[in-house]
Amino acid sequence: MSTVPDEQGHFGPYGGRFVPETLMAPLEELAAEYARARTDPTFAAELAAILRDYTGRPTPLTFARRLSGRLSDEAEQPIRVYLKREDLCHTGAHKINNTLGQMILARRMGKRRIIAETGAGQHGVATAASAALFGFACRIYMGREDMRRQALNVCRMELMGATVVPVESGSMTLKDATSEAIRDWVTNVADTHYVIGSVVGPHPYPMMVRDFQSVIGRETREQVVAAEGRLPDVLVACVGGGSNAIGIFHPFLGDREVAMIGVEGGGYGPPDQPHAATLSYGEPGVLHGAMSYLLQEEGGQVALAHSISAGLDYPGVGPEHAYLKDSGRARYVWVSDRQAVAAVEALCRLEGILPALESAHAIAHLFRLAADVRERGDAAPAGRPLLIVACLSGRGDKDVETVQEALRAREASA
Amino acid sequence: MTAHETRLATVFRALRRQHRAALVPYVTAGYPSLEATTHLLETAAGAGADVIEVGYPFSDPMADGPVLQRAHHAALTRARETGHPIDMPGVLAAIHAYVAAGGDESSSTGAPHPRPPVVLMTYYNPVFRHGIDRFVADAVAAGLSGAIIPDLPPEEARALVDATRGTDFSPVFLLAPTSTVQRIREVAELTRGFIYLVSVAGVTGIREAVGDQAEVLVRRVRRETELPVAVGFGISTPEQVARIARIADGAVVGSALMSILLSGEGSVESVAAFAALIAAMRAALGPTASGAASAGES
Repeated sequence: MSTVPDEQGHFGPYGGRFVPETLMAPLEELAAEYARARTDPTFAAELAAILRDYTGRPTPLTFARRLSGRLSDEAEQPIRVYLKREDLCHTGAHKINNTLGQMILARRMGKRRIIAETGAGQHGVATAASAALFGFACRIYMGREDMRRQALNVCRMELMGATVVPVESGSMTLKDATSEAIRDWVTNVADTHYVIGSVVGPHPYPMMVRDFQSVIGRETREQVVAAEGRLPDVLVACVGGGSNAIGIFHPFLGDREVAMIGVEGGGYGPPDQPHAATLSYGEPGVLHGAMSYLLQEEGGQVALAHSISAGLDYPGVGPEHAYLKDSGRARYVWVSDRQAVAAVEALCRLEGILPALESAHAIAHLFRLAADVRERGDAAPAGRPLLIVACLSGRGDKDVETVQEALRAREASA
Repeated sequence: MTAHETRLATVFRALRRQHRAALVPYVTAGYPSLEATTHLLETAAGAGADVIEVGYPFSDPMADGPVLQRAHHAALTRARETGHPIDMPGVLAAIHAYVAAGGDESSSTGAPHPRPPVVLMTYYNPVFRHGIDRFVADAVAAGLSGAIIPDLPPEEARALVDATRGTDFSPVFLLAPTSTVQRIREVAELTRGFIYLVSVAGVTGIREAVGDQAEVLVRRVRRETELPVAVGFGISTPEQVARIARIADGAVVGSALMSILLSGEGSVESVAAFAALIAAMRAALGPTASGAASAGES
């Protein structure tokens, strides 16, 4: 079904391989090994077994009854919302779908040293857990600022035997951690596999990570059809690098009637205030090995992103999202820090689910969708409710302190 | 190969006739200022550089080690503080100021020769953002002889290569210890000027030992092409320059020089030490043959 990327990893004008020469050979090796694994039934069987027995897949598709009621009231029309519960994956987020797949590949390539970058720490924890499971040495690069924001996850990674390396360059966040991981890989390329955590980076990563995350969409498709007897009208997911969004979107790309909305981190409010809404306000550029949309300044410098959610705090975005935006197949919007925090509260109170701040961006957009429906009055085809699936990509335990701080600040200013 | 010879090719051919390797010092543009960059280019030429590499400071220099990361960061920070953010026109103007002043120093000999050519080391995004055709046109107008773009492998360089056809501007591609024979051939095919060999798998920086891996790589590349090869990454002492000179056509020195400038914050003393290291490296390459294409003793 999918015709992108091409052999060189291009999604239209995006993607590709913009990396130092030293990495070209290992990327070719990885692409070749992944191509073999993709058609190898033993690889598929091993991955399926580990996703079932270790990760706890399939994850539930939960009907959010009270949230749906609230949104229906808001819209003055029936809305039914299902949540794809990636927060129930082992380690607390969808990230582990990808890290386990890459770990099997690393073992096939004989690489026993694993490195990764992390922002919120969810990818770092998933990598650390997967490396422990496979008995690999593991080193996680994390910006010093993110280590402060996500102290709990630092502790979890260290408990699982990973070394967490503080990155002090630049903005000390995900962008800088990624550069540092690339430097490590260039230096230790012979025995090291770099587990990129999102659908970003040079080919084959955007394609490979997409494939590993597509399990989210494949399950969703079956589950929503079983529950409602039809495909959803709208899919909503947050977008930092964009791996959970691509994961849930991808198996539906051929279904023209299914709308797709990616929700970016709007920070303090773009375009004038610091934000991380790359697809909404960026321009094409090259960062970390791929051509995509990029937040940038004059002279081609990469701009600093801001989002309350460390996982969305990245000035780049996966090349396939750039492609989907340009083609009009998916639509990209943003939600501010403040709205994301309000969505955390709402989901906690209405459903008893504490979402990660990243995932809360998707939830926050549901309220805007409901308001739009009321204004335009054109929801789903007559006679049936608007059916939405939102990807709840991770749980929010890691964010409790950040949310508490934000709530206190809100009260103080009220 | 194209019919006419590029400036870089001329320099390397002249040096080959003298059986001497090229000394290629590097400076980060904008550290401590763009005016200083022009002066540092003149200083490097005077101290014995054969080709000079100018680094375009970038926010995310993923192929660079700690010293050049600091240089990039410092250049960008200072530029921002003075309210004149670094952009491509500014960097090209600083280079042009050096190139355009060339020729008069040797006019006493009656035959003015241009100063050592300059190649720009830049990450791809600033080039892409400026516009590829516009970049090549502006670079040529500024008197730049080529560009080394560490995150632009030949596969993604079609537009740049096409834009440089028929100009005196050479895209310089890199090869690394991990490069396959097929990649070596592809790079040789596209290169006009010289090939940049990355001495070790890693980032730029100062290393205690440089050589064994580089030697193997030079031999592998020589089997595939006659093109001149310069070796970089890790070369920091006159002894290392001499060792590389025995096997390659050029030695690139970056972090060792920028480390001197950074620790002195570009003071007069640090510029003198920068010049002294270049001169010592030049001396390690042997005496200047008569008629050598050096910038003369200014």
